[in-house]
Amino acid sequence: MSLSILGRNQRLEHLLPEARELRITGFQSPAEDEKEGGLSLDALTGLGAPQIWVVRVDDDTLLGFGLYPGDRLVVDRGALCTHEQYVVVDLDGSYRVRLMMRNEEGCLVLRAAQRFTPDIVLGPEAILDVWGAVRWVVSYVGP
Amino acid sequence: MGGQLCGALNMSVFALIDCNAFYCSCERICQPALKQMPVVVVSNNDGCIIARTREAKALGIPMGAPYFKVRDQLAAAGVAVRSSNYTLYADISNRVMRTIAELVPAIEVYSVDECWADLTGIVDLAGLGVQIRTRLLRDVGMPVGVGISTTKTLAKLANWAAKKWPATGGVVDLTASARQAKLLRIAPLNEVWGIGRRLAPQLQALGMSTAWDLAQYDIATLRKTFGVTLERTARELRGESCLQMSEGPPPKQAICSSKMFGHRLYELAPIREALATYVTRAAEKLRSQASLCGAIQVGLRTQAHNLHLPRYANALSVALHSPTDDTRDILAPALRALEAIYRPGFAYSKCSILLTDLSRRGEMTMDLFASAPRPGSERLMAVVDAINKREGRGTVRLGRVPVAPAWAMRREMKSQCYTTRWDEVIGVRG
Repeated sequence: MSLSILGRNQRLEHLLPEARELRITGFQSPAEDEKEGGLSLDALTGLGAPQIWVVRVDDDTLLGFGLYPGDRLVVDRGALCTHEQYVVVDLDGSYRVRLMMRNEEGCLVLRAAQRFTPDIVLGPEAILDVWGAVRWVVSYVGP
Repeated sequence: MGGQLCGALNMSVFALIDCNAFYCSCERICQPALKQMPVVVVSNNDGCIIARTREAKALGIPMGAPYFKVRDQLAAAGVAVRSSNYTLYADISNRVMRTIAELVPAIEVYSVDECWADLTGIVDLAGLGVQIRTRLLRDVGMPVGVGISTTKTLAKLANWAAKKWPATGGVVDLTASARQAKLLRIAPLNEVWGIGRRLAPQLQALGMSTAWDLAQYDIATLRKTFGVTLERTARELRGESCLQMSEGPPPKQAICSSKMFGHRLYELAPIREALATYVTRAAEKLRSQASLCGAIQVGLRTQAHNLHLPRYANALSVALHSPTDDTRDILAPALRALEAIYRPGFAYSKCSILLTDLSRRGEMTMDLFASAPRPGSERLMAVVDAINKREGRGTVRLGRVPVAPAWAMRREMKSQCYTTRWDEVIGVRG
């Protein structure tokens, strides 16, 4: 059992109904029950999960994909790679962004953003190590 | 047969998952050009070799070699050298551990690059081992070895085998006793967990040369001659599990922060700055484990190995008025202690702060006659830690702590903080 001894003022306060119970304050509203946490870019992009990595576009060689220098790309390394998506691959010791697609013969093709860069066509037996799939682009468009 | 199966189900099963050349692998993940060359990582102040890839090992570069002695050899062999980048290693370690934790029933992080997993009751052990390896290679890019067995010591030995023989595919399931016996007979003593450079020769003098010899040795003699730790090791090698999954390490009994200066310091002023920086770091560690400290020890020394310069080393312990975790209340007596031991005319190379007599908040009785603690100290420190966690270390700091100190450690070949700073992330091109 707990016993509390109240001072005189407290005793009076104690007898008053709780302001919260009355729900009469100007700011109180029934919307309180529907309150939710704010928007989180982490929740949207998965940032913070061990398989999510961020890379940065170094130069203007990706303009053909609409990716500008300084853009940050959110890459999912755990994603199952399918065609028709942007992937990061390690080509001769540097990370490159390529569009992974399938050609008429059904072979996987890695297409660069720049027209003059030849496609890399993978034979049916070829093994390709994809570093990750690009999922989101974070781009600053302010002045 | 039925009984055997039943026994197998009741048995504890441990896995040891250990990253291959962890620091070097971290550098390779973020700098793909390094994948085609041997890599070594050097310690703080670019002192000595602390990590080597398999190729660097094959070149005969010894672990712990002073960097200046092997610099020319490394350059001639085309070895990439990196200063240690602990920010990067901590983040990648965290990714590795979280990935493993998703795949196994329980994990115990043992060090930055290895962890134990409890695999008791798992049916396809080797299959799970392969899955852990594949997931880590895919999601993080970290190569690991997985050793699985019925005791921690055997799991560690299985891990050694997984790394030693590439044919194992990096996974060794050592739960069957026939396989255990086979490995024990070929594993040298110094590969057994807990048998160091000092103990191995002593055991060899008794005629032991392999892990098998140790496992077969008379347990009572081992206990009498070497103590219970070695007895436990021998029992574990026999398949008798003595070490369980721990519930996490107990809070540290002392916290130390000490680093070498980038170059020798003569004056008191920069040493005070350095001490203030180390105290700040130590107090952060103290608060992160929710402890208070009751005493501190400040140390100051010149380089130990240079015999041509005058040498000096001293340390002073101070008891605090009351246990505290407030950076300010630790720093003030620490600076007074530093002033007391500082002697002009020496070339100092290192200072240190040690927080001791640790207790938990609410664990001790307040001294009736001690001055009242600073009001709001607990909340202030919590706010400082929260801001520094969000905005980066050192955003809010004491006035004595400089941003870019002249005495900072040399890390001339340090890579970027690829995973923790927006402007230093990995670069890509078309």
